[in-house]
Amino acid sequence: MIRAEGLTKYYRVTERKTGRFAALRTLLTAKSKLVTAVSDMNFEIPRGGFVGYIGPNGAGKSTTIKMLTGILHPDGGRVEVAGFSPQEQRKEVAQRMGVVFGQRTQLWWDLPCKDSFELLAAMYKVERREYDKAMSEYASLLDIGEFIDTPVRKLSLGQRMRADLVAALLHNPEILFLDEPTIGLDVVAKTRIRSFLKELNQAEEKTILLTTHDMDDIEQLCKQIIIINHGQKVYDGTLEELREQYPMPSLLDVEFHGFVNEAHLPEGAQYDPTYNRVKVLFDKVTTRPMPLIDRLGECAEVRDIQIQTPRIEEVIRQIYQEGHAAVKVKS
Amino acid sequence: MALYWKLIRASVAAQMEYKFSFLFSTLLMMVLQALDFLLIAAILLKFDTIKGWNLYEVGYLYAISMMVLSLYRTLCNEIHAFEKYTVQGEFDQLLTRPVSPLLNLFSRSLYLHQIGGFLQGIVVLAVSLWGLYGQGVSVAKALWFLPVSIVSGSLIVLALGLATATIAFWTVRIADFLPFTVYAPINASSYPMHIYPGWLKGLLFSVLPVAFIAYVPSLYLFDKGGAWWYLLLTPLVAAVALGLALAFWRFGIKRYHSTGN
Amino acid sequence: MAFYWVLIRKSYLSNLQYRAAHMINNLGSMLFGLMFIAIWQGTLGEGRQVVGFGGQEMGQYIAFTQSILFQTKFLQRGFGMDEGIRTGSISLQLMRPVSFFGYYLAFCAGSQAYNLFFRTVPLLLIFALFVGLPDFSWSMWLPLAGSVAMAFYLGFLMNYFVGVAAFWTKDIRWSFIVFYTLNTTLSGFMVPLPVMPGVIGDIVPYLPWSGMNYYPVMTYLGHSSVRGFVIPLIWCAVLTVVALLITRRARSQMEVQGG
Repeated sequence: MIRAEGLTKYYRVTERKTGRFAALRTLLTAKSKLVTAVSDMNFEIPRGGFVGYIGPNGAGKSTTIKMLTGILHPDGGRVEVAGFSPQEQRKEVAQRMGVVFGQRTQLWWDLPCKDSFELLAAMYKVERREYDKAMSEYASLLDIGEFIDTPVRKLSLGQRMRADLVAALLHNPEILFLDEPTIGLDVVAKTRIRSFLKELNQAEEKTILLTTHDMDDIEQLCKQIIIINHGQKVYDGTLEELREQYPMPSLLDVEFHGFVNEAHLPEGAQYDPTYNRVKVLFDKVTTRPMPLIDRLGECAEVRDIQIQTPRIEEVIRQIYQEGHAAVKVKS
Repeated sequence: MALYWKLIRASVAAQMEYKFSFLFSTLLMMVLQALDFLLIAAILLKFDTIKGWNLYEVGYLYAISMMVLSLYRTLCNEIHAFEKYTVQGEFDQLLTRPVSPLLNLFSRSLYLHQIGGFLQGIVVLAVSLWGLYGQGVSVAKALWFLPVSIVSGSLIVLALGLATATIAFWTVRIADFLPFTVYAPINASSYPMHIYPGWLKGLLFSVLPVAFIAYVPSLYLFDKGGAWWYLLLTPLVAAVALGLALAFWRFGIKRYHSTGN
Repeated sequence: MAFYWVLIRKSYLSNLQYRAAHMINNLGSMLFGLMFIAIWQGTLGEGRQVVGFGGQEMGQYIAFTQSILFQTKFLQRGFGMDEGIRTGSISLQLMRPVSFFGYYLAFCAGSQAYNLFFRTVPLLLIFALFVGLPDFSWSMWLPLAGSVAMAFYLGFLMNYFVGVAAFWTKDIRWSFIVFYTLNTTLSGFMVPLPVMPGVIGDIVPYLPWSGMNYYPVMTYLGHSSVRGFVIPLIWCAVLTVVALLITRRARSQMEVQGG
């Protein structure tokens, strides 16, 4: 469905002068230098794939997405989306693609959602019948009926995101690009959006490419993950395979009240007598947290419990510390 | 007061950081704003007078209006742009501080980018007074009165601005009120009042008392039939207008306390 | 085409939500207009004339230019393209299967249509109380409509240039102020163009800005001329080509610098 071969992109950055009359001197004698944003990127995403595209800020994620959508032209390599070149057949590609940016809306700020939907339907030449079908299907799944007549500027973030998802799906695209679709949402809203995306991917075989910093998004949704850093791909494979190489433990942090019987603590638990608390690292996939918490509860009266989920940035840092050689790249 | 100066110094330092860009933008702004006056000058050059007032006399009115508006925008920017506090709900934050909200607003209000109008006003004023002097008119009185003119005029503009800002406690936004309550009246004060139809003149002498900024005193200063006590009207009207605006502002805050936004 | 028509309607509707605020704003426009009218009538007095107009006609002149202000000069600064570039939402705009230029044209047309009903007409009627209306004849309607349409389109183009400048400079306040000032001074907004001093007065009738106020208002006052149609028409055509070329450059500019 999506294929990138040797994809490369440079940016020209003007060097800013500092000191006296900096602005004027920059204007007159600016030197620009080339910065590599994406270098020699190869990947392939099959139809019905659900891919997490992951990396720290500035790693080249949005540059790649802009090349896939035809906004930017690559300086090297080629890219193919649904059998088209986004650079030469931009409008054909746009017609087969839905995009959601979590941080900004594609809806018209001053108009009710419904008007935005009608505008987008006209823009993508969606026929009345298809439009009604999409509305009845997605509108009920995402429950947007209650605010469909409200101007977008008055929606909550969660409502806006749901409306944005419907907007991206009106023209029944084969491919969805989602840029941090769960950012800033509360747990309920996140869960709702995730189950909707899962349904979309399984029932309608939509190919979904998702960028995120949220480990739960990746764990619950992605069949394939691609990790990039400094414009280069550093991992491409399933989450399970990544886990095999890099354990990603969650941290259970329990604070006790009163005497703790250290002998009863589970294996691997670290007891800190100064604060009377215990830390346990565990893998969410192999160990379920509830029995572990029950077990700790038997040791003494629990005052406070915290669970820290692993951060993807942490994994990337690990990959880098161990060097590229250790990374298995599926091609 | 010491705190006020400290905040102002910090603000000046921050805005002067980009010296070149600041000077350039201020100069460009001056030139562009002057074009506005050049259009009027083009009319007056062709027809000599507008209901008995010549280019230099109108230039004097224009210069004073320009200077007081610029001073207001430079020193009271947060009053002028008050709607951001009601739109984004930042006004609550001001109410939690141990100083009066108005004083707090003033301490954040310095906006040097608007100083260009003042400089331009000085240039137009100098040219106008020089021209009048050349026509044998005594300009000494006008020069003596200049500080009173500018301080009182600025306070009249402040009163209009503050009253408009207060409307935001009811309507949240005020941008659409400003043309009627501030921009148009200040512009109108650049011309002799007797060119306007009666009801408009009445408005500019009462509710929007911009006639007193420069027109009323100039009737005496340039011997256009005014008496010496016309000079007293300017500071008097400024004090009354500001007093009324402050009362309205306090009323607005009281209303805000009881209903919120 | 259907899309652009929908966009025109929706843009009209989104303006409609703010009509109460716009009515208050109209009061300010009214005050400004009456002030300019007073300046002209005070200058002309009883007997004097300018380009053949007495005080009454100059009043109508100002009334007309003041009433179409929101379609030619007070458009949303650069249609908010600078904001779009700052937040990155311009990417969405560039990605869509519709023309970038056409999108903004339709967007602008919707708000111009709104302003025609909610600013131009009420303001003209208010001013009519003070200066009356010129003699209408049915034969005038078509030339007037054509002339005004070109004025609106030129207004759109000028503001489009301001907006597209954001692809290069990020801060478009200066280009806005420059274009705004050129509109004010060179379009015949306050002063009929032939009155401008010296050589300037000879040149300005041939510049694109003349089509934004001077020629439409002359048509409105019953002084339409062939020249008054041909000059704006040529500029509309030339500037459209320029705008499309610049749009293409803007797209590739985006590529060089990223988003």
